[in-house]
Amino acid sequence: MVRTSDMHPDMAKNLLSLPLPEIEPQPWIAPRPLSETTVAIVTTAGMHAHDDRPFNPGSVEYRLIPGEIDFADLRMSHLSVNFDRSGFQQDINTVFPLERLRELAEQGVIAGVSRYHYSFMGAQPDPTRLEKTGEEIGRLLAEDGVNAAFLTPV
Amino acid sequence: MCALSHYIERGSEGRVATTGVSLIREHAEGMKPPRSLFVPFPLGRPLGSPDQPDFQRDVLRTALDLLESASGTTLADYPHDAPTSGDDPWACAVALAPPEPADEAEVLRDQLIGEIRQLAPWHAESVKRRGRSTVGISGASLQQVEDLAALLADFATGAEPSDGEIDWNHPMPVRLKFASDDLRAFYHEAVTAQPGANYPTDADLNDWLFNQTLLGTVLRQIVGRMRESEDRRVAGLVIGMIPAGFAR
Repeated sequence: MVRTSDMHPDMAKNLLSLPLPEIEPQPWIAPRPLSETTVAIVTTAGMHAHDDRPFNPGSVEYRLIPGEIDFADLRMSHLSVNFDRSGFQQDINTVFPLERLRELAEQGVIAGVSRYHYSFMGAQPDPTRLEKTGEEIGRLLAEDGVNAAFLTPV
Repeated sequence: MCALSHYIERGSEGRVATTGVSLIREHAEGMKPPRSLFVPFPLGRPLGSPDQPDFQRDVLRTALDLLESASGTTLADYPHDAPTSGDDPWACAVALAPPEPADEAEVLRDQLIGEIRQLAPWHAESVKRRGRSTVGISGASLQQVEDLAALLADFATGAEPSDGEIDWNHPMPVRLKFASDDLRAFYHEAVTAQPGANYPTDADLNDWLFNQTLLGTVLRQIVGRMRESEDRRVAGLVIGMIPAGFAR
């Protein structure tokens, strides 16, 4: 069991001091059944393809991760040093569960896996700076026929 | 992460529903994403543990199920801890016996390279077994890992860092952070490829790297120099070099 009360005090203090802006909720979306749902992954792990630009501190743009990417091509240039990277180094699904998502599609649990997934830099001191790019990928996912996004932090 | 849920749903105009996992329950409570699954796992492991496909799939499936079950803003709690490999303490099988770090850049560089070469066979095994390496965000190739040691040794001893042969992704001083991350990745990948009865946790690896290797000592020397720097860009990098609790 890991909660903020179990973390190093400096780390917990830093995490709990981050601003949590109030964002007006959207009208509730009633999703279709999972078996009819195409899913994309959106991560804030600062991941990108090896030949893509690494993230810089404070980056608010995203990187595109093609659905067919070879895991050998994935890198992580997240700024923070205060999270475990060894899980990612041993098995990328620990952070970015693309192989698990493919398996759920093969089993018919979900309808399919998106052609594209999206990666942001996490540890944002002001999450409202992600508004423009967040809305942008919402539009892009919808236009690409994706019905649901699975969001994962790091 | 929670903010992105709101923005993605808004941008999609009701066509893309979001769900996901949260590692900081307080953040999800405050930001109220439409659907979120709090998971009691270490930061950096949102799906639980490496090489545990059944467990990872269950976490993913539980979060996706919220798409069908939730009828209003929902923060659910995943009921299981991440699997561990046992209660026995982990230890690195290769005794590195790090030397006292030298004051001269060239000697310290050779000392670091010596340590890297002790781990190199296991890193080669890691690449062979996993088919990949995550080393490379600094711009260095796997064949240039020893050149990263030169940069760190130069900075740690106060020598002028040379550009070397690496096609760096970042300018100085940010380069130091990513060179450090690449070397730590090399060490982690090597040591987790060694045979053993159990796998190290993040705390095990940090304790090993920062208390039992020359690299850890050099990284602390670098952080000491960064703290003394009058260049705010350099001083600002301190928080990105060594995890909380290991800087001393």
